[in-house]
Amino acid sequence: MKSLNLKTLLIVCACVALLAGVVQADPETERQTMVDYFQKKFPNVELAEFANGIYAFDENAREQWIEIEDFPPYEIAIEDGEAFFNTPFANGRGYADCFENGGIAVRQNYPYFDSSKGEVITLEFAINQCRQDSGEQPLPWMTGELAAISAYMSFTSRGNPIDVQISNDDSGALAAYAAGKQLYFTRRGQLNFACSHCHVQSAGLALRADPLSTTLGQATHWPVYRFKWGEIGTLHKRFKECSEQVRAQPFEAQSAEWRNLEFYLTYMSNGLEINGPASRR
Amino acid sequence: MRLTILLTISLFLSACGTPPATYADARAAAMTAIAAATDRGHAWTTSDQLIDEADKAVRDGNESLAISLADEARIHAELAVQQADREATAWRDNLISN
Repeated sequence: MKSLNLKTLLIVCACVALLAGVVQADPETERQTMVDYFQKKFPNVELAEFANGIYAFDENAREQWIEIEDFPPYEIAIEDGEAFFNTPFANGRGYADCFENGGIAVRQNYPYFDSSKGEVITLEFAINQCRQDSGEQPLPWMTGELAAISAYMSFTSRGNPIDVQISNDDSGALAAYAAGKQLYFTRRGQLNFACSHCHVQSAGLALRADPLSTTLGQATHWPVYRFKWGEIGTLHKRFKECSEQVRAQPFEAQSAEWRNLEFYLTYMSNGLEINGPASRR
Repeated sequence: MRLTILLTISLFLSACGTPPATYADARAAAMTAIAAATDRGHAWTTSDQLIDEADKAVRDGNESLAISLADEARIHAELAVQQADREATAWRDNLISN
């Protein structure tokens, strides 16, 4: 009877472990599942090309985009961003003092989970944190000076593969990743859509005249000059736009919810090269 | 016996609920529902738009339209809360697997 109990216990433990594996897969396994999914869906698209969004698989749009890149509309933002970046704060410190490597070529490491603070730190969040630590006012999150500084920092990071780190031993980082993932797959708004409905299941199909981009590569090219915006904007500006398109009340830019979402989304693009800032329709 | 029947009928009618008599009541009910949806992170933009339209209707002197718009805003917010309840577990159905 005693041995039977032990045997039963072992079977139960094995079942629980198996179930936990199914329900709570580790981020790297999930990223590979995402990569495999899109490589099957777009067998003619090289993995690195997913960093170019819809231009990876829409030939006509790609031709126009390549021509636009001859005189990119985000160029002024890079120049402005460099000037802002190099302008010292009132206390004599500057952005370079707040970042590793003086803030040059570091975008690929963002966002990261700060275990001491228990929250996800995006690049834009770190830029404003840097300002506030020097007694400066924070900048508006989605456009303008902050987006320009972010554009310059992305430009210096071009070609570096995204390297978002999540240790399977870091429960805080895993929880933030899980929360971001849940938001990505949760139906919201009156239209009852999740991000994944457009960018996983329907990726490559057209919404009116616009093809839908893939999850893979969605985080590589920010900030973006969108022609419909007529200016450069951050990823959270796009989150806001997507939310409103499905008639969901958006979260605040750089809210914990959207930083977690960016954490998940960027992790899915690990290994793809930073190619921001970029232009999009 | 007659009293019991009368009490039962009146209780039944009150349980059925009656539409708010004034725009202020309808608006307050809608705002409570919107706050509940917002707390769940699931509010819809349509609720706020309907409240804006209702406020305009009442300014224009059309209180019955204002009440119906506020009621619609409340219903949208209640549906948003139902969506939040459902999605607490249903989001997993959207996950991909190879």
